[in-house]
Amino acid sequence: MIYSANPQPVNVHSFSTEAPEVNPDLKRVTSTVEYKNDRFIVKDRSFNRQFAHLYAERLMTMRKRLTAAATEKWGNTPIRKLHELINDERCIVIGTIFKHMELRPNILKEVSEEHNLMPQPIRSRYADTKDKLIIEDELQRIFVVGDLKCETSVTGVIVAVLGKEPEDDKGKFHVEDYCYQQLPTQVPRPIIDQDKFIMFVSGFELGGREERPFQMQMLADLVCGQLGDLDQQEATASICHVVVAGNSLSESTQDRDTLTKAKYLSKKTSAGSVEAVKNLDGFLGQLVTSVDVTILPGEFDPTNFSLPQQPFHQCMLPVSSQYNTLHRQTNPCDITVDGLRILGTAGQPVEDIYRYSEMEDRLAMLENTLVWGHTAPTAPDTLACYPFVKEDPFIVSNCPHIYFAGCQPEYKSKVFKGASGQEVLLLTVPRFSQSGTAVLVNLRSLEAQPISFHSHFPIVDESVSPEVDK
Amino acid sequence: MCCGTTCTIYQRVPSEISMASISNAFVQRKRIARKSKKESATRNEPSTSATDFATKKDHDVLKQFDLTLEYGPCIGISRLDRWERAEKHGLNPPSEVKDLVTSHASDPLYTECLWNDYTTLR
Repeated sequence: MIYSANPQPVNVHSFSTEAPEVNPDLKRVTSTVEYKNDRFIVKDRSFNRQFAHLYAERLMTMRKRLTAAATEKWGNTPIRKLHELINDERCIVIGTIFKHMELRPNILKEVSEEHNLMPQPIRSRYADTKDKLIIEDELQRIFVVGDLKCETSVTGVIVAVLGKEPEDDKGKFHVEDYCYQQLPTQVPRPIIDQDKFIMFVSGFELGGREERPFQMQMLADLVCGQLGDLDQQEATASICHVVVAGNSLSESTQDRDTLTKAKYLSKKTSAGSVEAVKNLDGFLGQLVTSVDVTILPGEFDPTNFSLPQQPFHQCMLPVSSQYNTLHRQTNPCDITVDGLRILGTAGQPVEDIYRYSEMEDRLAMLENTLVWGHTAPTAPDTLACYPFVKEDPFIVSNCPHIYFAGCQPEYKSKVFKGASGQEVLLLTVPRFSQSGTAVLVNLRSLEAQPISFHSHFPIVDESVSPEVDK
Repeated sequence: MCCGTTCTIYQRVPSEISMASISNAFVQRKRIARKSKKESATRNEPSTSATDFATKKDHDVLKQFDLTLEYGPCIGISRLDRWERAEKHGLNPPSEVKDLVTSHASDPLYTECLWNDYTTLR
């Protein structure tokens, strides 16, 4: 089997020999697919609500879980609300973290006339060594110093801290130890007898300068079984699902120049996204004829901007929507394939954590979101989010088996082991437009491997004049 | 001819009675202005002091519910939604509040929070 962990070089010369018999009919493996994305579908779009209710909902929901985790970890230490704190008493406080960042763009600083400052430059990272952490519960907030490191924390995480407010340093809570919610128990992975693969790919970025149509076509041909010899085709027949995890359109399709230019200049030009979506539809149309495809919208895709992003509308994908194998889903997405639970986003939460913390490793950030128990903790503070009132859908309530983030700079994977025996495969799916790489995950063994599509065309050196054949 | 102003009558208290508080030192008696009979007939309900007292008590209870921050922010959410949210998270909100709100479901003074009129806060 080509996609096994140690592929053996059998049948290497099969291309050079004539095919002895007619190719046998290869059937693709089937799988049952379920989607549990109801909580991400925004039903009534009322934007009159304040975000305070979302934070209150988050704190109230997580408080119960954190109380359980804290009492298990630290025994009978009293849990106090901030207004009940007694000086020098060692206690537990449960609240939301707020990270006070100096470099963070602040609208008040911009409009402040007395400072006469230039607007703050757009940076790629806003974290700084002078940032401070504050913990807030329903009534008060207090500065936090000690074990809880500022560099690895972001606003919006609910945490339980053990420590005290010393008599001589009032206004600061000295932390000895902290904990997050315990990862919910995981439904055990179903035993699958044959190798089944899911392919994760993201960041096609059609319509931009970095699009790779040739490699995309190679991917489509491979998955449909039109590429490779018999071994390859047998291996491809074990791919049961393809997940396109965001940014199928490029950032340049979001160009708003046509809005500001004069009408007579932009009358004939159509939006860049129209052509790009047509190409995407054509590409998906090839895939859906033979395999289940789930498509998630990403940061630059034509859907709403705030999380949770709603699925692609079926009018945009007319050809491929006619097949029932195309599943247009929300971002974040909760898929269950053959009983295996997959949770993932198109990478915006991880990108936001990268911007507002000093961590470097994207996989570590993804792991942290799982440990914190919240897929997008910085929403709604720095990541746009719908003002939910009844529930916070990003809280991790069921432990997934595979947890992915799309549109990342490189492929990385790791198996995260939880405290009560949970095993989660963490996956960062690279941008196809930059790396030409997709990821195959074996559902039987939860192993991930990359698969790259490259085309090496010789670069013609135009400066050298062509020698005439002598 | 009587003008519609109130006048208060102060009564001096004999000094033998112990003055427990300053407010008991001089007993005030207010004379309620005599309104014309016509005005009293056009009033919809004769507001007796009993119902006034009851609605005031209701409003006090609801106000206390609004101001209890343990149940989360009160602005921008109806009292019933907030009560249900508190109930869902096991914070044991007083059931009296729910009864009051559901029995006066058409009256925004009951169903919406204290600061409902301040539309810019919502």
